[in-house]
Amino acid sequence: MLILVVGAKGGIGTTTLAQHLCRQANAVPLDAADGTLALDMTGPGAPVLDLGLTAQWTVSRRGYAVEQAVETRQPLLWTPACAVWRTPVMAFVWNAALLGNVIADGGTTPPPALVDAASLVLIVSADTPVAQWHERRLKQQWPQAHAVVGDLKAAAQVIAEETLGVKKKLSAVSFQRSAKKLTADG
Amino acid sequence: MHTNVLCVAPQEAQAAALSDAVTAVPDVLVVGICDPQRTEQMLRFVSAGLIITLEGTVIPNVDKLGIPVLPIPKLDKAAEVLTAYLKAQAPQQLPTQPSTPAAVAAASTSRLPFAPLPRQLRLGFYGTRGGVGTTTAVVIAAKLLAAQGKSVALYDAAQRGDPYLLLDLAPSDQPASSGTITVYPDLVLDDARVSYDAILVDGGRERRAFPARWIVVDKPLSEADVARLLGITLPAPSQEAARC
Repeated sequence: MLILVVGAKGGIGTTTLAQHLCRQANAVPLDAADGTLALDMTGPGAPVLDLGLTAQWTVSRRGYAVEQAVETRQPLLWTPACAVWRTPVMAFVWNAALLGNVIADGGTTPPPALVDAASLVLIVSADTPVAQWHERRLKQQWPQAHAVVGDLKAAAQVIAEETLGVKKKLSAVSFQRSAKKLTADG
Repeated sequence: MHTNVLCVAPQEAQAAALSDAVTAVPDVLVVGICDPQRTEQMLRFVSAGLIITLEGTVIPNVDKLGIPVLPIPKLDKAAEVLTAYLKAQAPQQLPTQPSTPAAVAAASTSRLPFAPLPRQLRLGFYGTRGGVGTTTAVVIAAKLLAAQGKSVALYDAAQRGDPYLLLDLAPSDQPASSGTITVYPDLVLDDARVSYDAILVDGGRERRAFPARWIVVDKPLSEADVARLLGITLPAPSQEAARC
C-alpha cells in the first residue's frame, strides 16, 4: 500500500506524520519533499536509495532492489530525474507498495505521479486560516483525501491500526472515516 | 542642498560597503563607486563634490581632481566621519566646481547632466524549510513600508497565494491591492512595476533569479527584526504597553 502525506502548508508536521507512520507500520519511507524524512530514517544497513538511479537498472536488478528496500526499510529518495524516468521509477514504487507498505512524504507540492498511485492521501493541516484555505484547495483537487489535524503521533497510530493492519494498542483516539477528518481528540 | 559623493576603494565590494555606510547620512547622495585608478575617468561622467575613500587608498593625480578627499579610518565609522566633516564644512559651501581653470573648462563642456533616480528598494525572502515564516516576514515588511507611505509591489513567486491570504485578499492569478500594497502572482519586472517605491519577493523555499537583495529566513522574524532590515525605526512602545 502507498500512503502519500501532503502538507497544507510548510512547518505543520508533514514529515513528522510520515515518520510516525513509517515507524508504527514498519513501512518503507519515500521522500519526495526536502530530504528530511530520508535523512532521519536512514540507517547503517539501509542507506538512502535515489529512485532516479533505478531507471538505468535492468528489470531483474530492480526486482532484487525492491525486495531489499522492503526488507530493510530502505529510505527512497524522489529526485527531479524521477519525473523524467517516470515509468521505471513508478514500477519500482508500485512493486515496493505491493510487497510492503510505502509512506511517501510529498511536502506541500507532491509529484503528480505519486498522487495518482497513492491508495490514501493524507493532508496535514492546522487550525489557521492559511492552512485551512490550502486544505480546502487540496481537497477540491483530491476529493478522496483525508485531513489530519491535532496530535500527529496519535493520528499515525490510528491510521496504522485501521489502514495498514498494525496490531491495535490501547488508544484514546479514533479514526473518524465519516467526517473525513482524523483528529486526535476524537 | 545635497552633497554628491563618490566612493573610492581598491575593491568593488569595499566601495559598495562604503556607499552603503554613508547612504543614510542626511543630504548625501552617492553618485558612484569606483577603484582609485578610475577616479579621474569616473569624474568625467558624474558630478561629485566630495570623494570619500578608505584610509591608505592612493588615488592617482588626486591634486589635479580639484575635489576634496575625505579618508575614512574604519568602515563602520564612515557615516560618523562624514557627518562630522559636513558639519564642519557647513558655513563654507563645499566646492562643487573644480577650482583650476583647466578643470573648469573641462567641466563646462564634457560633463553629463546627472540626476540620480531614487533607489527602488528590492528585497527577496526565502526560507530554509517550511513554516519558518517567510511569507509572514514579507508581509510584515510590506506593511511597514506601506505605513511609511511607500507604494509596494509584493511578488508571490512561490505562487501559493499565501501573501494574498495574509493581507485578507482572495488568492488569485491576478494582481490585487490592499492599500498601497499590490500583490502580483508572478515575478515579472516591467516598466510599470519599476515605478513602485519597493519590490518585495516571497520566494517560498527558493532564492529566485530576480535582481534583489535576498534574505534567508531560518527562524520567524519579528516586526522589530524586519524593521531593522529595512532601516525603519519603530516607535518606542508606550510605558503602559511596555508594562503589559
